[in-house]
Amino acid sequence: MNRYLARPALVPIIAMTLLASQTAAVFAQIRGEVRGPGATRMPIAVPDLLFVGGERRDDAARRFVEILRADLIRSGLFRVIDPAAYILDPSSTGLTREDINFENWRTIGALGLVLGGYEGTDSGIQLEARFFDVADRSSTGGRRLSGGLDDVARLAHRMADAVIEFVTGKPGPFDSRIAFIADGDRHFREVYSFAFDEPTRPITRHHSITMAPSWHPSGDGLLFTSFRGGRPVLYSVDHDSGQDSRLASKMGVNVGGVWAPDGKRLLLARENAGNTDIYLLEPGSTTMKQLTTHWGIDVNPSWSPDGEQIAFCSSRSGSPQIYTMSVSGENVRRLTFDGTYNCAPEWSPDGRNIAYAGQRNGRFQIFVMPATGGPARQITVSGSNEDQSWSPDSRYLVFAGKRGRYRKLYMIDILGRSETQLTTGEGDDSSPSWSGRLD
Amino acid sequence: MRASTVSRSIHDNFAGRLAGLGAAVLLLVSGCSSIQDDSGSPAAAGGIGEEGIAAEKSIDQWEETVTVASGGVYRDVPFAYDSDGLDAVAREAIAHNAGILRSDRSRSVELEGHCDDRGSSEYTLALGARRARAVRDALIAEGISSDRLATVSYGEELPLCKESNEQCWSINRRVHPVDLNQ
Repeated sequence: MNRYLARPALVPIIAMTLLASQTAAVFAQIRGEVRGPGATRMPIAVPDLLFVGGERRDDAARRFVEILRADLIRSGLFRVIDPAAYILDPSSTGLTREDINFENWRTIGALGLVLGGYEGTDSGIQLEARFFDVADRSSTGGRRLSGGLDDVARLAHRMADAVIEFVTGKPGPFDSRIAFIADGDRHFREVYSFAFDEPTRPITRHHSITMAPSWHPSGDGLLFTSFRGGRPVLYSVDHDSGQDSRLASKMGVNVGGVWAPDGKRLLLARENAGNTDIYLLEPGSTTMKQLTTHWGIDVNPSWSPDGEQIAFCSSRSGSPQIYTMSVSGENVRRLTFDGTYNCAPEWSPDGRNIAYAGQRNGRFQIFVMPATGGPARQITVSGSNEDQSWSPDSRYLVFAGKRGRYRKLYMIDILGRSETQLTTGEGDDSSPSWSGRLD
Repeated sequence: MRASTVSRSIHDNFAGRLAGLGAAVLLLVSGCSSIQDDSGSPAAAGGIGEEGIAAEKSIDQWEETVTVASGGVYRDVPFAYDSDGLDAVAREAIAHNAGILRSDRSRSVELEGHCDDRGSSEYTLALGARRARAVRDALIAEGISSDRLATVSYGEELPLCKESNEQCWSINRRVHPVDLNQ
């Protein structure tokens, strides 16, 4: 019994990088074809977890597999083969390479296979699952995961992120959170937290207008702007407890704030006598350093991941356009020249690109351009779309899209090939901010 | 002609509620902290449908007092898209408002800058501040003392109208004067 769970931990296997593992030419070819989400989708089979021992936790095990399949589908990288087509061999209850009848999986067209088993524990579930290259009849790696019954969605996201890493060399984005603003009654707007396949939960209870949530790099908390005191002021809030505090009363009227990648410095836009400029606040300093001094609107600062540069939106040319500058406020450079309204730049976590919202033919669309400047690619097409934020793996953007009566959150890969609606229901959802990968 | 009738009715429907929220905000500034519900940790409570009953009740009360006092006295000052410039219609509205302020020196106003919902919320908040400032400066040029004029921007956060069309957007692009004394 329990033959695979009793085996040595999978850690050494996982530690091997994709390139270091032995892979057959066929699989390498598949991998080469999977250039990005939505390109060639790899057909993958994800059968139910086998019950191996301990308490029966069938509901949790089923939920794990359903969420894992959902993640793989919305990644745009995989086509999950209909489970009804799976040829399950009742005599084979093992989960190692030797136990698998690869021919049964090859017959239904699977190139990838995620096979796993679980053991119910007193408080939850312990499971082990591996990714197999069906053609090569080999395993690229796996994960051993355990948690309480409330953790099942996160366990599934961890597994999905790992499967994406086995195939592409870079982990997926699903074990993360997305903060956003949702409409409430009486024009109230509050900060909420979205996680894939989990109930959306409120973070603030200001009974006021809140705006522009932005994660601390640790993922533990957020900056946001609130009208609670009558004027927009920057607050910091702890994600789990909802405890918040005004950052500093002397910062005046604030228009959004963003933590630096070091989690210590922060940038904010501040209004004074009608004019809005970008300021830098450093730890231990009681004064803010003004980085822009132009009469035009300067807003939406976004850090480069190395913390050396800042992308921002400025109306100094007469219309809002995207600019970059050094963290000292020097070397200002205009990046966008197409269109009369390009704003809200967001530097990708890998540093390569800047995404922004641009107005074309009366509607806003999401664009991605190289951070060094150059031609931009339009990512969204239908409806009007704004407020984009990068996924932790720089492969996707979450944004607020208006396709019907309400603005809702969507995710899309940066080639614009696979789009998934994330929030539903009545009321507008806006200003999403995608966290880093959770610990 | 028809368009202006429609926008007037939309405006009337929403004006009271907006005035109420403006008043709520002002009361918070002046130290009335009864609705600041800091109890517990909201995140732990869970559920997206929650709302503070005490806050709602308070806002209703403010609506009653403020709507009656400020209803329809001042004219909203309109703006073009992504602009804080004052055209002839805007200047006419400002002249009307200046007349009221001149005739009753006990009045002072808060000028609320508003925008349509196109563009980032941060950009529109900054644009609303410029609009409020432009109207303030014009009222000062009309002889109104600056100490009777406060400004605030709500950006795109308090739309009068939520449709995505030019008629609705133009209604939302406004500086809305709210009487501070009454």
